[in-house]
Amino acid sequence: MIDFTKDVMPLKDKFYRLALRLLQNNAEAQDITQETLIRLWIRVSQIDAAEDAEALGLTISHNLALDALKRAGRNYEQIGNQHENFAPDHSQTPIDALAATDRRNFVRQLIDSLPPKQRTIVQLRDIEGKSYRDIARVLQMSEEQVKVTLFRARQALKKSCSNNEDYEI
Amino acid sequence: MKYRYIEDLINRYFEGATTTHEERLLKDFFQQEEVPAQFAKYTALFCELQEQSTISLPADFDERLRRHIAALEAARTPKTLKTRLLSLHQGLRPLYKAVASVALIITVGVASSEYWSRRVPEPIEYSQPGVHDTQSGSEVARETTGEAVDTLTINNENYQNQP
Repeated sequence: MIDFTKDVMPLKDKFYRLALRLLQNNAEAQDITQETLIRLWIRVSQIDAAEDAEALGLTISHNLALDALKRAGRNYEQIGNQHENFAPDHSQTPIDALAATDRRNFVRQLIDSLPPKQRTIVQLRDIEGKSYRDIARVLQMSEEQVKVTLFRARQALKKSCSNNEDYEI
Repeated sequence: MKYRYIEDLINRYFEGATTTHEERLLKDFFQQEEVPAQFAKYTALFCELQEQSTISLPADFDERLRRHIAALEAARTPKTLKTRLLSLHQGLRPLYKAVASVALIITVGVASSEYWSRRVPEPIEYSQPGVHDTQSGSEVARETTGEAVDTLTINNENYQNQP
């Protein structure tokens, strides 16, 4: 059996970041993190290992965030394709001290404009460093599906790097 | 030549063919102050991915969660029994009830047994059938008493007249 304070509480920020990535709303993401932790607290006696608590917590956080998206009328599959038309803000002069920050903002906006499934997988893999197996477990999909989705997301991110080359000129 | 490994890693990263360990190496590589010019365009991406993993909840979150869980815990656990000192009278109150119940049962029992035992059986006729007393009981009593008084009076007179 695991200890809630020792084994579960240190995972809170991971749950929060996943909810935040999907909802892009700080208050909503905090509410979902609280709900996730309470659900884990209720079930803590049934969880054998801290890894299980992490996978379960990420699944709960992900599902709650998706429910919130659906309630808000934002479709899980369709939303986020804006990056097709997404272009960096060229209004600012790139060759100055702000350039690096601008590029970072651009990358952040690009990640957030990915479709939710790609966004979730980028969050779990490229930000949290989870294995394909863990991601497949959390999202209840096959490892192959995870790899394909991640490949698409990275191709979109690569485009952002190509676009950034414009800044170098 | 020097950065061929990095170049290879970057290419494999975008193909989705890197391991988590290699991805960590890439992030670390782009954390350095002077990133070689040919990789500069990737700096923002890998630095931002690294930066995003440091986002954390506000400081007051734990306290809010703790209060929430405490409220749930209070609702979950049964109310604790309160102990209080009882006076002798209060302590014996349940006993009074028991005593009163027993007393009531005994009273009812005795009363009912009395009632049943008082039910007189049918009078028994001792005299022979067809033979009836010619005198009533009171006449016999009066006569007997009268005779006894006479005898007593005579005896008394005889006693007083003795020399």
